[in-house]
This record gives sequence, structure tokens and C-alpha cells, in this order.
Amino acid sequence: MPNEATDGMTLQVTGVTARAADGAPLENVSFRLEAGSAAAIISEPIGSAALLIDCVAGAASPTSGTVALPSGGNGKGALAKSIGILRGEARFPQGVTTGELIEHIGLLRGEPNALGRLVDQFALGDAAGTPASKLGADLRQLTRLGCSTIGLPDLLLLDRADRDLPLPKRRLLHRMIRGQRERGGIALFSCDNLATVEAACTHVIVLRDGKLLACDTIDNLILSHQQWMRIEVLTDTELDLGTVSALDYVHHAVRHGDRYHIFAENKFTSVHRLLTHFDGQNVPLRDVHTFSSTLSDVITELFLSA
Amino acid sequence: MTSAPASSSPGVLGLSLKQVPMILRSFCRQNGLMLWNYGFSLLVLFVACSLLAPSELFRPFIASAIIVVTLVSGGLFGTSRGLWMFFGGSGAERYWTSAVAGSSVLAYCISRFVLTVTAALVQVLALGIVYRIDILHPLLPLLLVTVVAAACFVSLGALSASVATSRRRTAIVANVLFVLLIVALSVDAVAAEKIPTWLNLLPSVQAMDLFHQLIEAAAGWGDVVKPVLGLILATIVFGAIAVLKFDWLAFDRGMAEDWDV
Repeated sequence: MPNEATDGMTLQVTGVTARAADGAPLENVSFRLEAGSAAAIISEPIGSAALLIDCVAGAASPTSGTVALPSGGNGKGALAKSIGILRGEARFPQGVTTGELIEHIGLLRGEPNALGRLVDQFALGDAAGTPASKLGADLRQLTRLGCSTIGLPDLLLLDRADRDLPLPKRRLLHRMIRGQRERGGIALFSCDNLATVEAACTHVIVLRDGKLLACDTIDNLILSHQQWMRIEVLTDTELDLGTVSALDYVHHAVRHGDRYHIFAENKFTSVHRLLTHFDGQNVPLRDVHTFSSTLSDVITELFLSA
Repeated sequence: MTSAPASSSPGVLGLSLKQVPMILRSFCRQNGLMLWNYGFSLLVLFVACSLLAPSELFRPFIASAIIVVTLVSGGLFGTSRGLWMFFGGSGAERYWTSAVAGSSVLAYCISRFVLTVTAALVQVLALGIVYRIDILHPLLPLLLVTVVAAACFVSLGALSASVATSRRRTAIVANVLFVLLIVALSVDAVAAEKIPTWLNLLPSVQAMDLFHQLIEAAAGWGDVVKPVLGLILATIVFGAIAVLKFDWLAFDRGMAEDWDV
């Protein structure tokens, strides 16, 4: 079941093309992650991220391309053991308490005392005696996350890692991913919140319709897109986004609630020219702010330019 | 980084036995399962022995058939459906990422075996207490036959879960096998002399004949050795095919296919 192994602690995905049952594609995706890195997959559609995780996990077969996993030891057994996987809304067997499930997986993955560690790390003390299938959604997700870390795997693969987690419990996930990095392991995951990406990741992998748009560190990604600035405008009248987007120094404009985000060339004159344009259109402005690009801006920009 | 323990066969067996108490506890928490396994099988025995065979002449015969039906349904349906419910669908990756993942499947089959054997033994005990049938004289052969027959039908259940590759197909395979085994049992019961040879070799017919001989005629070791060896051989063959055909990815996908239907 596992893919082939690399010589050292590296995850190498080369030219992977695949299609999921729901139609989500992957087209010639290649990237490399070194030891100590955590990469978040940001994908449109979201199914491509799940498919990429399945391909790396060996649960889906690419039509072409290869996946080479960190070896983390010698032989197939060690290779299999060195991966921790959470795919989708993983089920729990009926009648098994959370504590028993963790102990069971601990036995199988060579960490018989996993329960104590996970109770501390994921605050599962109250859940340990309850059947896992009867827990609340957040505790179920924490249990799934915890189970994926049993045996301290070299490679963590998590699909929608922060699903159902409220902000305070998302911090446990952030800590878990940072812990994986600090231990010298690799984490590859998809998530619902960009805050998780910014809090825990070294790398971001951006996919659009299965094609790789970017795979870089967050800092590099933002730096490489510094040619744009975001001008946030608050006005009482409705802006014609088509007209604004057509301005030669504007990349694109979007509406967020009662505010407009206008991505313009990162030049001092852009603000001046935009204000002059609004004056000419008799648009009454209530507020104007400028921001340098954030990760969210960069990703929006990547998606729009794809 | 951690490294995997060596996965020798005795190691896997030992690991499986460690997991059995946890799986048995999970069974005990499922009231429906316990009621079906012990309560329903006992009820069927009482109904059959009291209403269908009110005279002592037919009682051992009917009781043997009911015990075999309990073993077949507990082993075949319990194991095949149970394996899917325990390991099927997303979540299977918790197990297949382990180098000794097979030990958890073996542990599940052992747990189902324990459940099936105890259900049949409760019936045997009820025969002795309620209907005054002599179970003490052939007790050890009776225990051996119960254990071997349960192992045979549990491994048949594991085989049907392994070869069918989806929960729905497993249910179809298990139902077809159940009908075949029970029809053979019935034909053997009403017209033993007309039964084709190949049908006579089926484990349900073999088990039925063994229980009948032991309960009615208090047969000894000499009468049971050959058929018991046949059942052991069938257990090994079914188990070997189940091991060869078992595919974690099929368990992962087969459950989802069923949910889509």
C-alpha cells in the first residue's frame, strides 16, 4: 500500500496526475518537502486536496507520476508505520470508547502509552471513557487528529485538519503541527481556515482545478506578489466593479460586505489615481485604507490570475 | 523517529490476543448485538424444541439443527458484517498504516469466534438443563465440535468479507452462502440418503451430523475425529483465502460505495 521510499526525510511528489471519484482532478503536480516542513494545501475545488493526500497516502492511484515518501527506517513495515493519516470524517467503531480506541491504535503502532500523551496534548481526559462515536463533533475531530499522531509518524497527512474545531481547539492542532515540524517530521494537510495555515505552516501549496499554482513558503509567496497592494474602500453607493477592474493600474476588485477591496499596483500614485477616478465618478467615499498583501490576498490573486 | 517492531507470526498472534478483550468489551456495550447473539438464539432453541419437537424423539435432531444455524449465522453474518462495521470506510487508515494491521483483523475474528462459541454453548447448556438431554457424557467431544465448527464459520465469514470488496456485495455473498448451507442442512435432515456427495461435504452438514450423533447417541471421540479434521481443513482453507484476498483499500472504498447507493 505505501508508495516507494526516498533515501532521507523528504517527500517528493513528481508529475502526479489523478482524478477522484467526484471528478476533482490533479494535473501534473510536483513538489518537494524537506524534513521539518509543514505544508497546507489550498485548493479549488477542495476535492483536489483530498485526492492529493490520498495519492501520497497510497489510498488513490495516480494515472501518472510518482510519490516518494520519507523512509524513516528500513523496510516496508517501517515505511508504513512512519505515516499518520486522517482522511475525511473518519468513522469510529461502535461500542469502542475513545480511550480504548487510542490504546488499540497505540498497540498497533508501537506506542502503548499513547493515551496519556493524547489526553495531555488534546485535552481528551473527559472523552476517554465515552464511546468515540458519541462524542461532540470537535472532540471527535481531536480524537481523529490524535489517532493520526500515534507512533509519532515521520509524515502526517491530514485532510481538512481543522474541520469542526472552534478557535480555542484549533490551537491544539496548530501546536500538533508545529510539534511535528520541531520533531523533524513532515506535515501535509488541507484545512478550512487560513489562520491555521498562517499559524502552523512553513509552506503553502496552491491548486486550482488540479493544477499547481504555487508551492512555496508563506513569506516567499507574499514577497513574490508584493507588486500589488490592497486598497479598502467604504462607500455608500454601489461601485461598478467592472469599471474599476478595467483601470490599467488595477489588477482586480472584489466586494466584501459593505467594503470594496481593490488590488492595485503597489505604487504611491495608485491611491492618488484611484481617488481621482472616484472624484470624477462622483463616488462619495467614507473611508479608504491601504494594506500590503496578506496570504489571503496572494491566494485570491493566484486563483483569479489562473 | 520510531521504528516498527518485527512482525513475526507469534508476535502477531500475541498482539491479536491483547486486542481481544477491548473488542469483546465493545460487543458488550452493544445491547442489540448481545440480545441477538444470546437472547434470540436461545429463544429460537426453546421455540423449536418445545413447539416443533415436543416429543423427545425428534428433539436432539431439531436441537442439533438450531445449534448449527446459530454457529453458521453467528460466524458467517457476524464476522462478515462485523468486519465491515469495525474496519470499513474512512478510518481504516488508522489500521493499515500499522505494520501489524492484520493482528487487529485476527483479533476481531477471534472475538467473533468467542461470541459464537459461547452462544452455541449456552444453547447446549439449555438443552441439558431444560430438556434433560445428556450433555455431560459427550461433553468434551461436544466442546471440540462447537469450537471447530465456530472457527470454520468465522473463517467463512472472514472469507466472504475479503473476497466481496464492498459491504453490500459481502452481504449478498454471505446470504447466498447462508442459504446454501442451510438448504444443504435441510436436505440432509429430511432425505439424507438422497443428498449429493458434494453437498454432504459442506461444513453445515458435517457439523449437523456431528452434533446429532453427540446429542442423540452420545458418540465418543472415535466418531468425531474424521469429520472434525474435515472442518479444521475447511477452516484453514477459508482462512488462507481470506488472508490472501484481504485488501484494506477495498475496505476503505467499499463502505463509501455502499453509502453512495
